[in-house]
Amino acid sequence: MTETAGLSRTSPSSPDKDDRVAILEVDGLRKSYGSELVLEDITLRIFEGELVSIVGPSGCGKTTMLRCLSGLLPHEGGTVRIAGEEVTGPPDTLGLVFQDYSRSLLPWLSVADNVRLPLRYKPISKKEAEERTAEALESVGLAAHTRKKPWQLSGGMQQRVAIARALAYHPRLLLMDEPFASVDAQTRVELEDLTLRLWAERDMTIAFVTHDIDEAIYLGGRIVVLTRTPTTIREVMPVDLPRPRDQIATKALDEFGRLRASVFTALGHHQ
Amino acid sequence: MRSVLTWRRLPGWRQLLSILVTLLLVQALSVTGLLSRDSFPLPSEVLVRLGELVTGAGFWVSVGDSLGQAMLGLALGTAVAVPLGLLLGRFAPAEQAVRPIIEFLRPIPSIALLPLVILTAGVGMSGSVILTGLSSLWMVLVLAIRGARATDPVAEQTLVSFGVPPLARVWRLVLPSALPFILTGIRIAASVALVVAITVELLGGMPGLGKDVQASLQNGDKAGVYAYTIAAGLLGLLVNFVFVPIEDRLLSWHSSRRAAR
Ligand SMILES: Nc1ncnc2c1ncn2[C@@H]1O[C@H](COP(=O)(O)OP(=O)(O)OP(=O)(O)O)[C@@H](O)[C@H]1O
Ligand SMILES: [Mg+2]
Repeated sequence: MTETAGLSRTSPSSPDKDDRVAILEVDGLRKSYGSELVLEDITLRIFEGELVSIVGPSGCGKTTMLRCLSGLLPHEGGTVRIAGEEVTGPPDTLGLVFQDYSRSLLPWLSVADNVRLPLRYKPISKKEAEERTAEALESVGLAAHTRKKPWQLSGGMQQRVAIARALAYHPRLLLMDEPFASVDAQTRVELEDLTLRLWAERDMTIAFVTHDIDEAIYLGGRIVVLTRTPTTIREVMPVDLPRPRDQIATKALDEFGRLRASVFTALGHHQ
Repeated sequence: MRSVLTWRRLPGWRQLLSILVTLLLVQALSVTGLLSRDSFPLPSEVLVRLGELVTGAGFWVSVGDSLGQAMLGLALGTAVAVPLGLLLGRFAPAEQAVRPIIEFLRPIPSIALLPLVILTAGVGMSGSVILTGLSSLWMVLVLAIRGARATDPVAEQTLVSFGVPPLARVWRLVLPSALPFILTGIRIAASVALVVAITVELLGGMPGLGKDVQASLQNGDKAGVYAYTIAAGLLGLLVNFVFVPIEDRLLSWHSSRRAAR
């Protein structure tokens, strides 16, 4: 917590990871709404190329935390650095995917225009914006639906539009806030595997907030477990499951069951 | 689908039948002398008079004058009201600061300002446009303020997180979100502007249908008074109908219209 920025690039507890560069450095983050203290002390490193799952009880401040990390919300204490820069407003190295896709997409714009909109304000050419839009929509499997309006698509497809919008932005860090909480189980499985594929294909770090313990284990390389409010980090668990992951094989491993029990216990449930 | 919808908006045979029955009833009442001929001319006379009017050139000049004064005022009022309303809707402190002024000025009927306008601008088109403009301004302003508040905070945060600058967010997000309110305001303001224009012509002598009604009254042309009144009513209906397809097109994305597609 008292490390300087230079030293914080290395993690003393795991000497074998000395070469890893922290893309997100959070130190003593504190946030309250009025007199209600929500985040008491969040201290966390996320390293380049990681996929970290963040789980916590409902209402513990996961969304609040992501909004502080992305500079959408001011915090009262501590520091947040992304790619070494202290966050004061939304950095252009960051992409966000919200849970509520139906509210985060603009209904009067086509699918392609929704994806293209943020690129208008980036210093890139029109042609490149066009290429990035097409590529992002292609990679989430929506190349055939670019001219439709978001509300003409299913929920899962709408969330893929939101993911494509973030991908086209070429973020180094992607923050996802319970992105699959409101789609059906089958679609959820597809979107989880889509997330893993995109993460493997791209030079991108992902912080994935979820309610679902299985989802956290299935996706994550580490799992950050939060306490109830006032929130701190209860535990950070490494996930030693082989990649690529598989919905059936991975979930059948003994280690998966062991992790599920640990996360459950850490969240304060009795077995 | 679209053509069926447009058809449904036009008066169907039921509406035509009820109009016809009413006319026949009034005709019967007048012919039998139950309605005094002095104040109620025969519907047939009025229709003949209306026929004469619409085949003459002077009538259309008056229609053009009335419509012109109403629509020019509407356009000017809207051009001021939309940016001002979006600004006030987004910045609560600014809105609180000017709210007393708005609340004081808004309820003053435009017509009450007619003497003032005649004194300053005279009885030409410009005087009339000031009044239709003011009446449109208040109507659209109130709805633009309300509309700016309809912006979804999740959508706004998404655009902020993607670095879309403030002015671009107004253009790309706040304005489209407010559009359902603004268009409703414009449609109502259009009808009101026409009423204001004709009233101003009637009372102040600005050129247009209102002035013609006044002239018919002074000449004792009773059928003419009725014919002009009917023409003004039809014009009001027309103005309303013109805005319906415009709203439909611009708001096809809106949740209230999706089912119709
Ligand atoms: N804008 C706000 N103003 C006041 N209090 C808020 C605000 N947003 C959230 N809170 C409160 O802060 C706490 C954390 O909310 P937050 O939405 O961050 O939790 P969460 O972990 O994301 O919840 P969930 O699991 O339901 O998504 C809650 O008690 C909530 O009531
Ligand atoms: Mg949340």
